[in-house]
Amino acid sequence: MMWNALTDLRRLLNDFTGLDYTDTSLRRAMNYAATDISRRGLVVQRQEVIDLSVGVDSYSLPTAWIQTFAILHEDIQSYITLRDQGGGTWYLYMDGLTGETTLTNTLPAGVNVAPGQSFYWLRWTSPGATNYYVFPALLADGSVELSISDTQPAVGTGTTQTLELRSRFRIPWFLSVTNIPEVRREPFSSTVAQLRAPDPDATALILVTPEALQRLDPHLTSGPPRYATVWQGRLWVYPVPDARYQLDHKYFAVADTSIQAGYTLPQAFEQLPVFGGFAQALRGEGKVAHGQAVQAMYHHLLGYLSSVYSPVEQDSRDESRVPARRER
Amino acid sequence: MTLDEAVEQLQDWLSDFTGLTHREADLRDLMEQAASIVAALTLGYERVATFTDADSPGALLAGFREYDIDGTIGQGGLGITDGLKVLAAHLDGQALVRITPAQYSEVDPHVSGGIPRYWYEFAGAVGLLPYPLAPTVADYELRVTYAAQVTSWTSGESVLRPAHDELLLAYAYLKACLREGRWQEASTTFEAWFQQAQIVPMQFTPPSTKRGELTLAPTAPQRLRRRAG
Repeated sequence: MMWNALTDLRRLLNDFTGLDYTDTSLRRAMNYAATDISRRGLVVQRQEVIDLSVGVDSYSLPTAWIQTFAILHEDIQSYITLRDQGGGTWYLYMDGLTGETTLTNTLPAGVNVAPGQSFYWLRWTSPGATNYYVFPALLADGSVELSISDTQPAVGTGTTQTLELRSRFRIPWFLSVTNIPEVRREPFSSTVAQLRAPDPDATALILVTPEALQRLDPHLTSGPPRYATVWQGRLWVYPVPDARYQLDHKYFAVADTSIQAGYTLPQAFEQLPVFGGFAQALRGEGKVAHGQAVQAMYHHLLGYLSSVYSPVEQDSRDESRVPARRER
Repeated sequence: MTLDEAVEQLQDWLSDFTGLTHREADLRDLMEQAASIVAALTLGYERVATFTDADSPGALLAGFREYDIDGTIGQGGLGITDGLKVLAAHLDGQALVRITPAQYSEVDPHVSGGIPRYWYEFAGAVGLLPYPLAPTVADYELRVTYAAQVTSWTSGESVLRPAHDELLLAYAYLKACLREGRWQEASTTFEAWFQQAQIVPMQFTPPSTKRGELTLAPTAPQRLRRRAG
């Protein structure tokens, strides 16, 4: 932030030295406003990956969740296992596969990556909850090298960790290791793998009300989820997953606030909590009319800004939008 | 309008030439705040980022659907650090159609990868549909038009259009009035300023050809005819 919200509020209150207000009380007032802005304006956008499990139809929502905006059905993830076989040799095991197979090194049609170029990254969460980043790169000989951007994970002899080669939700295809290549401990890299084509049915789930979910086709007991609803604080999908899927859950969230760090709002909204905090302070001083006047400014600004930055904002200037279905 | 001119004008409005009530540094700070919020309200600081394989290799990645607006180019980002809102996207001169993520499967459910024709923005990322496949990476140019934030104004001309000058001054004046406790004047100033802030963007509406796709979405008259029908 190029200006200091706390200083700005102090100037408005003519309390430069903290005689009337402590920093904590002012930060609290602005944080309260930031929370209000995010709740009423739906201005904080977030997305998360939800891993669906077979037979499980409801999933917890993030604590900061306010409202779901869209859910995209993503690719099936794949797992491989990193196992120390002793003697400094490491092996990768594909989840669900047994036995050693021969590596393939062909790339799917349409994928054209320059040799040596890292073309996407994968997240690897170790059991210690540490994130590592795996960059596959196509080598000159046509093979794919996996390199890890962080330090080598501490894997004790004989232990097993899951190396989750999961395409991030924005990657429509994923790496699947179809064999058990040998990888060396030092450096931890270079294996050959096959890139698999994406699930062509990746699609947006239809958001429905809980009542509507119960009226859906009862014969669709399981399969790739096509509908979703939020009920009793959980996200429900239908049909019940028959395999492991990923959902890209896009939602509106409550702003992050803390007394020490202040608030985090999108740049366009950063000055608003000063108005909100100012209005609160004025009311606290008994200047009710003045507080209401400032509160009105705050409400006007919030209403207009949230419409400007709404993801569904109808911009009269923008003729490029796809018309809503009912208009077609 | 330069910052010096703006401060002089403010001092004139406030009848505070000697800095008795407002230090010059405070007024400069207020003008900087004004530039920030006016840019946010009017989307008035429009910038263009162009990505070609030669200049920014890896900006478009094969198989990559969403690009972090402020992320690193080559790692799924567009490297735009001052973006407030994406206004338009063009691929090789062809305007892409704006959708929302909820329309992802509505526009063309059978196409996953290929030459992008649609775009959306959510949570600081731009999504392309269909996601680019290999030929796109090397052969196409992506152009993103976006409303930028004013990150700093410490001297010289305002980066906003001259038509925004009054808005900048009025906001700074409003904040100065609030600091002085001139409530009536502050309320009146806010009212006029807020109204004007909503009008100014309309005066500078770029032509639809600049922002939009012309063949896939109906034009405004078509929409009106349909509604009328």
